[in-house]
Order: sequence, then C-alpha cells, then structure tokens
Amino acid sequence: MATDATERSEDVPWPQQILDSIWLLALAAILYWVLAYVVWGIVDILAVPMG
Amino acid sequence: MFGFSTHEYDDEGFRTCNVTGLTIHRSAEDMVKLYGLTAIVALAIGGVFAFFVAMTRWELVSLLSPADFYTYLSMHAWNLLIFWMIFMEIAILYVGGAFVLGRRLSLPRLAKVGWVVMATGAVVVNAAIWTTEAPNQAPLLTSYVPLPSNWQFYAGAIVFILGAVVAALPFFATIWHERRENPNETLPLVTFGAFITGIVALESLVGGLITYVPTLLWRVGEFSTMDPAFYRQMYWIIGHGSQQINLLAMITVWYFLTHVLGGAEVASQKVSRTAFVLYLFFINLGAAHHLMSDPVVSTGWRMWNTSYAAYGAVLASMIHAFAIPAGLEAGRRAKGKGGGLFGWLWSSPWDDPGFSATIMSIILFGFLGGITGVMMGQMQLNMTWHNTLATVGHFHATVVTGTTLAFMGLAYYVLRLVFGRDWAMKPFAKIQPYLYAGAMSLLVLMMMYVGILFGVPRRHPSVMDIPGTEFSFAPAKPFFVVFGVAALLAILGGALFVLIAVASLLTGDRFDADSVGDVTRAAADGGDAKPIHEYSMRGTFTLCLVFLATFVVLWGLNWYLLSTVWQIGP
Repeated sequence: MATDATERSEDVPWPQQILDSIWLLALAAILYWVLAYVVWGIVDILAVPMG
Repeated sequence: MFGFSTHEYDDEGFRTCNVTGLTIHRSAEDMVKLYGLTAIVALAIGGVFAFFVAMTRWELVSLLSPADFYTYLSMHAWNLLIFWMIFMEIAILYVGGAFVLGRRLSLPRLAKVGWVVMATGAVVVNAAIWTTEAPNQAPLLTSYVPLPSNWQFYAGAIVFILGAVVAALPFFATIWHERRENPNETLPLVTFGAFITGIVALESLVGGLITYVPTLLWRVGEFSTMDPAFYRQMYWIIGHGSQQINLLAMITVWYFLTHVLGGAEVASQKVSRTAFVLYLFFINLGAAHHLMSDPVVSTGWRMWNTSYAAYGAVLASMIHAFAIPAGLEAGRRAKGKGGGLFGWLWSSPWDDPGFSATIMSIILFGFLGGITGVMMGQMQLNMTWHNTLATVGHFHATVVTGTTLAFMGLAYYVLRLVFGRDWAMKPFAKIQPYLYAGAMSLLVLMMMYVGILFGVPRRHPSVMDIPGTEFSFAPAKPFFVVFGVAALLAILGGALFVLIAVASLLTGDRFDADSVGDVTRAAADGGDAKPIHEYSMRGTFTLCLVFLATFVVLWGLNWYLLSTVWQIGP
C-alpha cells in the first residue's frame, strides 16, 4: 500500500499534489490570515497610546 | 423527512438520482431538506421586512416612523444576510460533500444538533431585535460598541455562530473520512469548492466568537469597558467574512448547476482549483476595506490587507468569471449544441428557472456586484462610496442579484431532485427569476445612482429631510420613484419564489426525470474523446472583453467623480 502511494506521488505533478493536500492548504491559509489580519491588527491597536 | 419526499432508498439508505447520477444517502438528504427549508422560512421573514424598509425609504409612502425604521431594517438584514444565507450554505456543504462523494453524512446527529442550536440562536436574535427598547439600539449588522444592544442579541448571535460551527463539523468529518479511505484520489471540483467555503466560513465564525463573546461580557457588566477599536477590527472578520462564505458557496453552486443543467464541463481543473486556493488565502482579508478610514490600524495594515493581499482574491474572481462560462461553452459545443459565436448560449434551457437564475446570477454578480466591490475596496474610490446608499446597492448586487439568485436556482433543483416534487405553477416558475433579477437590478442601479451622484446616505429613514444637515437631496427624488416601483416588483418576485416552493412541496407532482426536456444536458459526460479545452471558447472570450471594457469605463468614471468632489485649495 505504501509502495502504491509512493509510486503515485512520483507520477503526480507537484502542483496537483499541492492542490490535493487540502488540510495543509487550509492550515497555511488560516495561519496567514491570523498573522496578516488578526495579529498585525492587534499589534496596531496596542501601539495606540492610552488616552 | 417531512413526508414530502417521493424517493425510496435501498436497505443501506442509499438511492441513485436518476437525473444527476449521484448516489445519495438519506442521512445527508434529510439534512439538506431541513436546512434548505429553514433557509426559505428566513427568506420569507426577511422579505416581509424588505417591504417595510423599502416603502419607508421611498418617501412618497413613508410607511414607518423613524423610531421603528432601524428595528425593521435590522430584522430585514439579519434574516436575509445571515439566516437565509447560512442555513442554505450548510445545505450546500452537505450537497458538495456527502452528495457529490456518494457517501453517508458523517456525524449525522451533530448535524441535527447544529440545526437546533442555529435555529435557537436565530429565534433569540429576532426576538432581541424586535423587543429592543432605549437605551438599547437595534443592532442591524454592525452594532458598533459603545452603542449598546440587548444582551440577548449578543447571546443569540453567539448561539447561532456556535450552531453553524457544529453544523459544519459533519461536512469536515465526511471529507476527512473520504480522504482517509481514498488518499490517492482528487476531490471533485464541487467538493473542493465546498471545502474551501467551509474553511473560509470557519475563519469568519471564529472571528464572530472573538467579537461577540467579550461584547456580551461587557453588556452584562463583567467587563467595565469594551475597546471600540478592537470591536471594529474583530467584528469585520465575521461582518464581511460571512459575505465571503456567500461568494464561495455561490461560485460552487455555479459550477454545480451549470454542469447539471447546461452540460458544462470544467475547462481546466487546475486553473479553477488554483482560483479557489487564491480565495482561501486572500478573500477574508478583504474585510479590511471597512476600516479604510479607521484611525487605529496602520496604513501598512490597511494597504496590505486591502490591496496587495486582497487583489489575489480579485484575480481569483476574474478566473472564475472566465472559467465558468468557458466550461459551459466548451461543454455545450462538445455535445453539438453550440454554433457560431453565441449559439451555445442561445440554445441553452432558458425556460428552466434553475438555469436562468444561475446564468443571471453570474452576469449580474459580475457586472453589478463584482466591479463595484473592487472599486469600493480601493482606498481612494472608497471615499465617494462610503456610507452612501451606493454601498447598499453594491451589497444588494452581490448578495441578492448574485447569491440569492444562485440559491433560488439551486432550490428549484432541490425541490425536484431532493424532494422529488415537480414545480407547481410552472408558467410562473419560468418567469420568476427574470422578474426578480430584473427588478432587483433596477433597484440596485437606483441605489448606486443616488448614492454616488447625490450622496444620499444609508441607514436613514428619510432622504429629503435629514435633521442636523443643510444638504438638499431633493434632486434625487425622481429616482426614488423608480426605486420604489422596482422594490415592489422585486418583493413580488421573491414572494412568488416562496409561493412556488411551498406549492411544489404541498401540491407538486412526483418529479419524473424523463420530463426533463433534454436529458443529455444533465449527463455532462464530456462528449466525445476530444479534450474539452480544445473546443472553442471564443464566445466567452468576447463576453470577457465586454466585461473588462465595462470595468475600465466604470473605473475611469468613478475616478472622474472623485476628482470633482475632492478639491484642495481655493
């Protein structure tokens, strides 16, 4: 079974392997969203001096 | 479920759909019925309030007092923008997952629990809005702190969001089991699109919990203050993210219905999937365009999230805008149904409301909602649109002429393929999408026109008389006549849809697949051996050129309008 999977991964073009790695894509996208929108935004809010 | 279905299942609970060929399990089918019907109930409630809202903004009628207007507007918005959409989207996840994969729905009990929790949240939110009394404010969608809303509203919103998360889990579990059992197989494109929709939805819903949980604690007195800047930034994750779920679900429906009803093929799997991945990474960052004028977040944050990153999502939209009609054109040409430049389009089943609703959704979303969305998302042009009725025109273009039309198209086929009932009042069913789309388009154009050219504000019961201002909006008055008539026709079109759906369930004949005019259009088997991308797509290319030309003209026009209002110096 493992051999089949190895052979198959050698046959399949790498862009298709990326598109088939749905959980990995989801994880990467969530991480990017957290950093770009949430974390950076909170850093900006915290950087505002207290009134 | 509900006793409306005409289908019979084998001993294991499966049946084969004789139109699409899909193997469907009862566990998924029952949940699609439950969530789909609940969505239509929310549509009916929101539609009733649409009448009051529109007839108040049309000052010739002035139906509601200013004190009542915001309450009715909030009921309209929550039932249509949230409850109609998200109940339908959960149904779409189950169609895209269990239906398309031919599997049982994993964790079916959780799907039922999710529905109960969502429905409870929806009822609580409606009750909280309806019973709002000063000093509480009817929350509409933004409910910005420190303006207070009922604590029951925040609690209801949290319960609804939690319910949606629970309802999404069976979909993810179904995908998980599919991948575990078939690790070397590629998911079908519709399932892939539904999965991306699910992840974008998850981000949005988590954003909702980050926003509403501390706000509820503030409202019940556990926190002495609630930072408005934190609220604004976090709120828009769900405030705009919930609409991105609509976008992705709608595009998934476009791929599904053009395939099932028009015989479309996928012109390029890798191009369409790459576009979905671009959405996955970038679409939710577009929420930042609501904070374009916010003094708290840095210019770098605003520009990154609305320009450099979000244009990845715009690119994805452009790809889908080409890929879906191209797939339809190529698929129909492969089946010998397309001659000349647009023969593939003219020969399509335009008397089929599922098909006509889908195609008008694609066209109207692109021309009215998509172009204006990209313009509004730009920092400079945003200044002329922000908080005018044009913004309301934009999101009615995306959510109503786009998503709602697509979901209506899907619902027509849910009635046939899931409930097994043929459409009642067929002549009316054939014209309903045209009536609804035409009237809504006119309504949307009027909103944009009076917003951009006259600066008529949004969220205000009157137009000509705004206390505290010296502006005169009187020249916009004639356009509100068109607005009012178009609103009445659009509400009539929406009511007709609900009536047809209910009549079909109660009195519709058993749906017989043979009664479909052209059975081969549902087979979508790829035609002959010639690769699909070798068929001509020149009709689609021409349409795309028209779209791009319109985009350029509107872009230039909006910059010209901006230049006329932004004068510096004497």
